[in-house]
Amino acid sequence: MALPIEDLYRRYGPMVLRRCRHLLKDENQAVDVMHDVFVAMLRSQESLNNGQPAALLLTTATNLSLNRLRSERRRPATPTEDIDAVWEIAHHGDEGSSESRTLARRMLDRIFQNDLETTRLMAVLHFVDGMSLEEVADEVNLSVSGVRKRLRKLKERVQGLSSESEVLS
Amino acid sequence: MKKSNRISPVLLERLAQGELSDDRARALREKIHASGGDADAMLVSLRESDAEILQQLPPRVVAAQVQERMGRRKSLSTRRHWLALPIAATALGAWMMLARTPSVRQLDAVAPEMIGIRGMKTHLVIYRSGQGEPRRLSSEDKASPGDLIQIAYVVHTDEPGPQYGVIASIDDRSQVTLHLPATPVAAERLNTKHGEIRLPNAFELDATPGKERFVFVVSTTPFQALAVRDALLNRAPMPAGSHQTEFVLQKEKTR
Repeated sequence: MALPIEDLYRRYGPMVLRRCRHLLKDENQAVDVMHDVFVAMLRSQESLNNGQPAALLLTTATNLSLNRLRSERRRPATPTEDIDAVWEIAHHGDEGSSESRTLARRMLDRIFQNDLETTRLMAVLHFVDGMSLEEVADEVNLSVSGVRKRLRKLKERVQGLSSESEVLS
Repeated sequence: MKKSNRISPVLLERLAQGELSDDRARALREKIHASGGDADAMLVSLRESDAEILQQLPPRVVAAQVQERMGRRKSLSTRRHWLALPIAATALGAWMMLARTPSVRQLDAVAPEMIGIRGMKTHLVIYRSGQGEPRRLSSEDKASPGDLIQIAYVVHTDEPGPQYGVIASIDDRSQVTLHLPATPVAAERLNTKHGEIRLPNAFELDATPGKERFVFVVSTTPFQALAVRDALLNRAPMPAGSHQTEFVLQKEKTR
């Protein structure tokens, strides 16, 4: 199925852009990453034959947005560095406390630095998008227990880091 | 881990695309209902958002930009001067955000041209690009539909500090096109040190009859690009503290 790019965009573009907007909170960046998503899709159009192109595009949009966030965080501090995604993750724990905020920062760094791409995708789907473990498991084709285990380990590592350096808060 | 009652935007999108199995679609609808929401209303909202985005970012334009980006990446390793293209790419996006769809062509994909000029006032320079060298237009000249128009600016100021600018045009049907900055967010910080600065994109004149009025709004303080669009559409004042210069291009009815 070699969809002309215009048709591909017409059907899925708005969905991809909304996804990028949701994660990046920046219109310029979102549009830019959306283009990258379609470039990636055009380079591997056969992958759209999996019967669930929306899922693939959304996953690609998520991963490329996270990559963009990561690259942004490597730069000197900017007003947009304090992304809402961090804050949303923070809200998963104690509502908006400085401790949870520190935890969130640690978690996001951890996600970006060392963990598998699937783990960070799971973390975003669960912590940022609010998917239940069952819903995440369906999205990434893992068992619920597998998702739970990965996220628990991720959180434990992050919490361990957090307790080591309270000064950050 | 506590159970989430939030509705995942990813799942909602997949529901809208008809990609969820019957069981998952039913479960999601029930979850939405349990949370006090209305799944059908959410789907309608997504379709409205679709229409809005497609109007702002037309498929023809986005397709061209994606193709351009693909080509750019293929040749990045061998053609260093293509590094200028991100500017062009974002400029295209900006123009799209204003919901106007003339076709835009990348000229030679070079870095903004810098021509030293002394003692000139802030102004716009308009070129018509053809087979040969671009020809600088005067207010007496006319352009035709399909002509490639290249815009340049010159900033001359004695004021210290940065200058911010927006270049937009409006035709006789009140269609506004943003040419600078690249995206319709904040005014561009202008290059004030190198004389005439050509924008990295040319654009193709459409067949709208009448004239195209280009305005160049400059200020020492940042302002929103959309404020210029609104001012043009509503014949309202430009952002406070800004200065404006313009160039009116007459268009011939037929080529």
